[in-house]
Amino acid sequence: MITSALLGVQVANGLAVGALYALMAFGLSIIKGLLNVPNFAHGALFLVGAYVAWAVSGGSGSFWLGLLAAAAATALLGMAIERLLVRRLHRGAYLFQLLLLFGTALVMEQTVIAIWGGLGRSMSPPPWLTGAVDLGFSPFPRYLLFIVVAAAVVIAAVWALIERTWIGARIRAGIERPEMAQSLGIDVEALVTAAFALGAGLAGLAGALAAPLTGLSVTMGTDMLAIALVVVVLGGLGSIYGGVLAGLLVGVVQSLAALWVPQASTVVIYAAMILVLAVRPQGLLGER
Amino acid sequence: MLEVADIHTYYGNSHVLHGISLSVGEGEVVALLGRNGAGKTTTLRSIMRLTPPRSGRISFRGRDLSLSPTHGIARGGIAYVPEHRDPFSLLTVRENLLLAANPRARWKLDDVLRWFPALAALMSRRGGQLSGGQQQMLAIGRGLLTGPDLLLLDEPSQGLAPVVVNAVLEMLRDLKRQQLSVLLVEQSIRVALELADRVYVLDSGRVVLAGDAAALRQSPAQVERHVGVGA
Repeated sequence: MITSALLGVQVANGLAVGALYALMAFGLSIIKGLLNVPNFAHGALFLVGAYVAWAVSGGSGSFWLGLLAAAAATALLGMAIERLLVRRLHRGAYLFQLLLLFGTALVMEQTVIAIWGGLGRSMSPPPWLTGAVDLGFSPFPRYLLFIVVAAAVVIAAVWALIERTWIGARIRAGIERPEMAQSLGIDVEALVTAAFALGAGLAGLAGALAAPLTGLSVTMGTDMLAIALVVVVLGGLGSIYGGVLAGLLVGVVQSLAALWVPQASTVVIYAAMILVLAVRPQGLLGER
Repeated sequence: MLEVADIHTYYGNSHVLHGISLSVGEGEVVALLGRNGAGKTTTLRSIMRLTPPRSGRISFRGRDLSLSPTHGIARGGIAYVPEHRDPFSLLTVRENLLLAANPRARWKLDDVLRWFPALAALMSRRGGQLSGGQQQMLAIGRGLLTGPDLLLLDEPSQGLAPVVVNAVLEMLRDLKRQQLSVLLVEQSIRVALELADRVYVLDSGRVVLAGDAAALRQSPAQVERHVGVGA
């Protein structure tokens, strides 16, 4: 028997997981916009974010410090990947960039195993985020609500940065016409580095937020990357914001599917992708 | 102020510029004439290092431009307005104009709007929604607001309505009076000879004729021979 409370919890769960997908897809889209390459190291950055958050919040006792450390560490890592590795390959050397990013992801995963071991870990949310808030029709677990709000605040802040500031205008200009932007004196290379750091930081933050929800495992990055890539395609390639919408949608659909056919909750994502692409090949918010 | 010495530029394996040399002096307007494919646009792209020359030397105020990236050349005082105008289609006209504006530029937004009053009413429209003429006005305005000492202008009158062409020409005369240096690529011999102090005619990636515009105005046939009939 599926009660309204159970339904409510599943929707809440779906929204929280969807918010993580949204953060991942948002970062992937920003990086893809300026670099024109799907960041195959995005899952590994998610993994690193989770482990850094676990280690720092465990060591310091501060949940916030863990979140901050995860975002900062992965942003720096992203900056290093772009500056020291991706930059060395010619622009347009698409396959080589993919391979390089894929290799970088393997190195990061193995490094996590070397430091923290291959066993799973668990992390509990801080005491003030345990329990549930009653929304009237259904209880909403506090930590899930926190994930949704945190993701919304961060995505809104990045949206404002991109759409409402001169730096954002230059990023949008650089995405659309890199040569013209350079001819106007805009340092597009620096913007690419900044965008990579920003996207990587979002992945790390998503990992940190996910840790108390799903626990930590060394395969969490690979699993997340596969879904995040589907979400980006669903949202529409070339649209920075399509992934946010698609992420939430996929999270909820997946979570509700688990109510009726628990075994199918992963298949549902790919079925949804096939369905959406059959009707709208350009994705939800894609231009073409 | 700009010295281009014997540059050779390639697109892939195709050798496009075969040793172009030219110069633009302080406050001088220089026109590049030639048929389609003569290498005029490639010359401008070589100067900006969008298509860097494989050999030869380009210097601006004595500074070797091969040491700078494209954005560094732009910040060093050269504005490039390409033939395709390239508005940033999702940015508003205001954002397009001010995105790379230099606070120390000689010309401000007000000056651009004085030359092109039509833009004033379009400030919050997206770049992608402009007509060809509006795009051209936007592209020139955007370039001038970066505060250049040298303007590289590629076929500003190409495919535009006569009224827009007149506005652009009026602005160019104004800029010339104000001593801005301009390297102008033009299809129209008449326009080039009227505006320019000196003219270079390119053919197949080589300079085939160079001279004072005043002298060539007396014998335009000399230019026409290289540029082709109907230009």
